[in-house]
Amino acid sequence: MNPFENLTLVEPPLRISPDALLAEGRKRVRRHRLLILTASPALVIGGAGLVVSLLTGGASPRTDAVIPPAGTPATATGSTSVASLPTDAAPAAVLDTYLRALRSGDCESAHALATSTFTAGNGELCGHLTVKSYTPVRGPATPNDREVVFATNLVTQGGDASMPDGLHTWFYTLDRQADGPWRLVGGGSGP
Amino acid sequence: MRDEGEYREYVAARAPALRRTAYLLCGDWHRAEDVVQAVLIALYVHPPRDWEAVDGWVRTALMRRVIDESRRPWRRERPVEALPDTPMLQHDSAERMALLDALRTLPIRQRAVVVLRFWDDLSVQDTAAALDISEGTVKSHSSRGLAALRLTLERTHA
Repeated sequence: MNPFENLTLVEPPLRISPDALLAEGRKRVRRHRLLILTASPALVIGGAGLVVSLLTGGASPRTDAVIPPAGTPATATGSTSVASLPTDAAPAAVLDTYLRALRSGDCESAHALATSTFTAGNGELCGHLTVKSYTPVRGPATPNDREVVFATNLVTQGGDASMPDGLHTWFYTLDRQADGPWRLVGGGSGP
Repeated sequence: MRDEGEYREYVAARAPALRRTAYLLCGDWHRAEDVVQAVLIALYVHPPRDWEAVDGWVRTALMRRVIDESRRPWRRERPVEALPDTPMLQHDSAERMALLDALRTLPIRQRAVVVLRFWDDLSVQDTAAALDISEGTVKSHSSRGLAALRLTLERTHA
């Protein structure tokens, strides 16, 4: 028995365009290369620091502190709340505030820093699992002057088989909005 | 992939069929298109070393993505006795809708096996490779899937 023997599907028009996919593919290859260039030295330095820390018995580094990228204004650190975040806040400061809200489970504040495209399935985790700690990787990728991609190590709990408990590298993309502020627009397990 | 022209040709030639396969698996044309786009972009970013093996690469990536998506908490599928009403396209026949509804009642892996074996006409071996399961599992999923489909369709027509 072939259940599909007489099946003819009535299809809506196909919107997939080879040229659009090519453009998106090129963009991702560029981002990927940028991330490798910027994140690799940080991972090496971080790994070396961890080894030294383990060998010397020193305290392990805090996992909930944002390491601001070079050139980030001083507002990028500290316990900035959503309400007090200036509209011209640096993308690292926006992400820092978002991550604090995410860790404390304050999804309302977290959503205030994102656009409507930042949804469950496109990077948003708030409300779906618990983020116990986060450690942004130094140095975001900047594909262009209106887009920044951060790699962040998250320790999660309460996810399902697609996101088991433990350490995950999660990528966050922020875009500068037409009216000025940086906002989270997407994310996921890949850049 | 030797050049971008080859990629462009591949996308133009294969995207419609891939979308149909994805649709049978997820039951939603928009999701099917999203999944196919994601897989074809991934193909550009990380093409297989041997371009001759591209069909197998794409098929495996498509299956993984559809199955992973169905497990995500915000898209997790739950088997139900009665399916909710779905909007019908103008020319959808009752038989076609009954078959598609019956297909959606199968667990995702069983559905994937049935679709690859009987819609895409893949061999047991190729189906096992695409889903990364043993050939024995393909045979048992295939047999159980067909039996469940037959039963559901009989109930529908009764």
